[in-house]
Amino acid sequence: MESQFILAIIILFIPLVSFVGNIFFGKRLSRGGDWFSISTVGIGLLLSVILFFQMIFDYTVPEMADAQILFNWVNLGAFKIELGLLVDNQARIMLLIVSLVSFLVHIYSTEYMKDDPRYSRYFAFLSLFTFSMYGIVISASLFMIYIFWELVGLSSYLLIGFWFEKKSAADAGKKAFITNRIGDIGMFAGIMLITSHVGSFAFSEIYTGVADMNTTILTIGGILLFLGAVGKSAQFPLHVWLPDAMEGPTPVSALIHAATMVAAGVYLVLRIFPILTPEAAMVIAYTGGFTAFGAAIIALTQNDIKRVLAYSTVSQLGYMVMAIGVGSYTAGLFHLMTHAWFKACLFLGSGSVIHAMHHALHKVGDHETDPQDMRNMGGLKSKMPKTFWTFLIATVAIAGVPLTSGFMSKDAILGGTLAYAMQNPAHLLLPVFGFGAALMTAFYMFRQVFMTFYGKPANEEVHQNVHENPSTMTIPLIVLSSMSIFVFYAFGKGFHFNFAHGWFQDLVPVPHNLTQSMTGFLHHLEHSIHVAHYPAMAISVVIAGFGIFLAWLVYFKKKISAENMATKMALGYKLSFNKFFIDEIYQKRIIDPFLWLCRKIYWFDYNILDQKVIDGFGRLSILGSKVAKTFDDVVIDNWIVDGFGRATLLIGRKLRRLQTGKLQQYLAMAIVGVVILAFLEKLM
Amino acid sequence: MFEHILTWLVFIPILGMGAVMILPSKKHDWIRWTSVFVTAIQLILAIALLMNFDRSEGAYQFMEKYEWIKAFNISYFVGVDGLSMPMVILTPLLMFLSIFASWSIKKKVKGYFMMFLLLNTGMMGVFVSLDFFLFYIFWEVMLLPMYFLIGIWGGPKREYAAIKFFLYTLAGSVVMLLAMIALYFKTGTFSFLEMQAEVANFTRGFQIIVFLALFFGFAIKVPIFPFHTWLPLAHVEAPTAISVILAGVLLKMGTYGILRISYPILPEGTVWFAPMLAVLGLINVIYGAMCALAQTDLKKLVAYSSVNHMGYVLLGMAAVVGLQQASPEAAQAGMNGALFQMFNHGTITAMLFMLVGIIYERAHHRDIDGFGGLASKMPIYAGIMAVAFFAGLGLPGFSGFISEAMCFIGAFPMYTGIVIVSTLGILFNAGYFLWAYQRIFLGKFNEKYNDIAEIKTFEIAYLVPLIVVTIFLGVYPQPMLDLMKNTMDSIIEMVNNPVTLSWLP
Amino acid sequence: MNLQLMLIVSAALFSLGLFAVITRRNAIGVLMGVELILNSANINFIAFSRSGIWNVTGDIFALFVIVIAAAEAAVALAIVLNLYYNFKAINVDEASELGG
Repeated sequence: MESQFILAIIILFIPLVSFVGNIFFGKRLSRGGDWFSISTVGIGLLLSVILFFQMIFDYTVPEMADAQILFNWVNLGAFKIELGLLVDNQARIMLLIVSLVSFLVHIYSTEYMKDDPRYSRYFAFLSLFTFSMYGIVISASLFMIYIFWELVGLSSYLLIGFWFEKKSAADAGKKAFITNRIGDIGMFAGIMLITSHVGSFAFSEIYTGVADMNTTILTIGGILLFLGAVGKSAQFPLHVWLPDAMEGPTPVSALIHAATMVAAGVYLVLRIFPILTPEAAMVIAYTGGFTAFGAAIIALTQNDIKRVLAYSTVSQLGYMVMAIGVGSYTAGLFHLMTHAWFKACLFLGSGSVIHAMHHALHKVGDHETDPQDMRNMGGLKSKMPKTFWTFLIATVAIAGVPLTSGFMSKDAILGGTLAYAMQNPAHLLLPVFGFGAALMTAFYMFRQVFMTFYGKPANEEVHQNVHENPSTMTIPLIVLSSMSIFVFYAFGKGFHFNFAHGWFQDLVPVPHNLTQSMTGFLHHLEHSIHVAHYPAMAISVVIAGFGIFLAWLVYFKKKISAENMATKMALGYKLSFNKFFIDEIYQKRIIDPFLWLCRKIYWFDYNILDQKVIDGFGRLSILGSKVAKTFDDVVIDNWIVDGFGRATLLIGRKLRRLQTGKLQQYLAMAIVGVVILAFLEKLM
Repeated sequence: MFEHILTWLVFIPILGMGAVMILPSKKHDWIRWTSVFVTAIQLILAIALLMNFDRSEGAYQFMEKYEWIKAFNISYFVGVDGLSMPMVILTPLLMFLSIFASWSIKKKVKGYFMMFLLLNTGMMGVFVSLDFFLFYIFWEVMLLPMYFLIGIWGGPKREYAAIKFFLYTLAGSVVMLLAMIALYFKTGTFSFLEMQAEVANFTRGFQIIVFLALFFGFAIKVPIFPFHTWLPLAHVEAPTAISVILAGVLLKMGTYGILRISYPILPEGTVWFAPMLAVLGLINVIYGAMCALAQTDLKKLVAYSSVNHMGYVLLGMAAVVGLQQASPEAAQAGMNGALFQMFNHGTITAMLFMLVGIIYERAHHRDIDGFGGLASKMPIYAGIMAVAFFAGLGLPGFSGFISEAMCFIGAFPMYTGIVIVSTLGILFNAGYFLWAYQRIFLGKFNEKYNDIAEIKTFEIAYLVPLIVVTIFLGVYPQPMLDLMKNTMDSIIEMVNNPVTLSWLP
Repeated sequence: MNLQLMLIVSAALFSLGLFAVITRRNAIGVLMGVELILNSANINFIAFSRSGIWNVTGDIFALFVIVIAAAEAAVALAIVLNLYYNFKAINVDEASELGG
């Protein structure tokens, strides 16, 4: 076995060790066993970095066969389930993302979760999550992805509901798990559909095996598989769980619900990209575009600092999905990576603010005010400089300002979308979605910055008590925000500077072993991208600037009153503020009727099926036995059997008249009888 | 040493029952430990059997055959193959563990354990019999102690539940008896092996009729919709350990019977019925899950989850026709998945019922909405419950996942639509388990349970083996599949190409 | 002697006896009727034994009948006596205890 696989196996299983250790012995270890989790994740990070730089130095795109090992987990002769490791460039990049964010979140959590009574369990769950996420990243078969997919869902459930005493947290955990399961069902159906034709679960087999599949079935299979991503990456219509998931501890939100787990859906779409038909890809693109646009609208009006970020995440994930849908494979993964850094930074930054607010409120004895509501903040810039500056850098990056990573990746996506629309003008809506979302992103992100860090503090006393957090919390912020600077992505082979075409574009090419129709399509797309690239860049810069400017006018200069705008566009504001009432619609139109149906079915089961039908048979047989008993008593016994007795009695009673007791009569009768007999004999 | 091991396995509990009978009825501990000892020996024997079982072989092993009633060609004929082996392991395991779950039985302890051991013999007998008559006798032997165990040691509505269980099952057995006699007159033998050799003489109509008759008997046991309504009631009323056995072992006798008798002996009937079986599986999955969602009684919820989970088994079993439709891997996946799911459901559901019993002993009710926030008071119990619930909802890493997945994958090529709809079952599965979990353990702590006791080490001890088995098989299922796959292959072969095989040893 | 004549006498005697047995209310009278019947039989025995081949059997039977008739009369008289004790009458109509 080659070294990369050994490293990958170690990376995969080492967090499992700390999970098991901390679950069973965490409380008995010093500091609740956090050092144990951190060290295992640290080892994982080290090995991931090794794998990453191996890739950078090799600077080649490995053949699939060289990058994977497979083994049969289940082998029944004809039926096999293959699991395996696929350590290609995409996996190496993802490994680095997961391990670095995970490591920083671990460090950050030591401060953030310091006084929690279930401290060691928290770290155990974090380790479990890290394990599951690694599993998705390096799996070489659809089945293995599905396994870890579910495990990620589990750890997400456990971490969202970590403060389960709060009903909202428990609800959110359940909602996340179940909403994800809806997607998983589709994904599982897709897996079955594909593998029942291909006969294998391994990607390498599937990529080559789908060539002779019916295109319609393949399209359906692709869309079904994509459903898994819809669930995990919170795409419309299954996005509802992600904003609620903010009930979890903020570092968890940063790790799971911003940087890594939600990106798993995108990663899945990347993995199935080679088998997508153009039709399936179009569905994916529209889902992503619509989500990016819709979620951005919702983010405009939210007041909870984490909820804004949550909807922003949904929107950005929509971007990535759209990118893959329009064929910009590389841009999708690129944005996944850049987004992971700046969004993790934003979440950890917001966590830092919340943490500080929480302590300040605690100090002044205020337990009513919501420490997450941005309306209660303001002017924190001077109090928390490190948090502010890192937050600002990440915000600039997400808004797509030049010289940031976000600019590079977003621009690639927008270029791809524009090219797609140029290929087929009927899809003009997609770039509109893309640029519209970009505009709103710039606006709401700077709205957030202005509301949180600028302006007058909402409460002077609280403001006085706000302090910058210790370095265990700020160092991760600094690391993550620095990753948002363009230099990391603007070099090619041998570290030669190349702004437009970095190592990422070289090492993650669009896979070529595709279905027939898609191959031709992508070929045409390639040309359009070159044409569309610069216009897209120009438009996105202008749009980002406009968005920032607007936010500056409204929330910094207060030239335009936000309230006025809200009243002027009452309907729009209401829809946005209430998230288009999607949750309510689900609750009213789907969940409630469904539960009602369940209760009715159970009512039917017990009252009709059991009590009436099944017990009806019992009652019927009791009735039958009563009838039989009556028949037996009346007809058989009373009429027939006793009838014989009665008849005998009656006849006897009649006959006894003959018995007079008079000897002479007897004799006379005897004689008469003899005479009759004599006559009879004569007659015979 | 292994010549008579099956006989020993079957009849050791009867010896134990004799031993318990002569013990003074006041000495509860003696009675309990005798039972523990007896079942422990049985378990050790079963493990020894497993060690000596030849996995590369699909045919029967450890056969014993003695003439019994010569006039009717009835013999005492036992043996195990890959189909019965998992059940032969499962039964003593659950029996052994549920004795500890019976520790809290205080009423008529002696009678309880005697019935318990008798039940054990009946169940083991069913799983090793290779003679239909013997099978039928054990089938009925199992029924009687069950009746008393529910009827005497059960909950408030125990008599109703016990009678219902008894009569319902008996109704099924009567029809099964008719089928058995029909087969006997057709073949002149009761031996499964000899019946299989006569398959060529059965007309299609005969096969269908006999299949339906047998199916009726087995369907009640499984239980398959619409014959399932005795199950929630019996589960709710039965004492913990009996629920464990009922769900863990008894339900498997139904599907075991179909696989052991109907499939090889009535191949045409099977092929004819397979689509119906898939439909019934779908109904079981969806209907059971929806009923479970509506429950407020925790034990009933688990009971309906059994209906739901047995649906997966039916789906997997329906995949047997895959071989005819040029999809041998689907048939393999489905059939092995079904048997594997039978085993896994046994262990997982046993865990669930034991856990429900533990909370019932403390709170004296099972109303899901009557708890709240217990996780903060009893974290270990909540943790174990979470493990059991997640195992139940088919999370990867637990054995239930792989078997459910195999059932689905197996049935998919033949019954695509049905399978896609029934995958909704795994969603509902998650729904009812998580919703129940939330209502019991999460949220604000219910002050009423301020002095509720955490789970005891003793109780953990009898749960741990099940957890270990579940996780082990979930991570590394191949040993179990190796055990069963050759036999399942030959059953698939028998169903699809009945005439080509000669099955007499 | 003429056999026919003898038989006519015997028959007449039998009829008279029978008539007495049926009609007499007095038990003694009934007894006497019985005697008549017996004797009519005796006449028949004798008559047939005379008319055929010499045969002593008939005569012997007649003798037996006479002896038995005597014994019977004794028993019957005893019954009559008991009847009288019980019913204070010897009227056979009175003794209808067996009547249904």
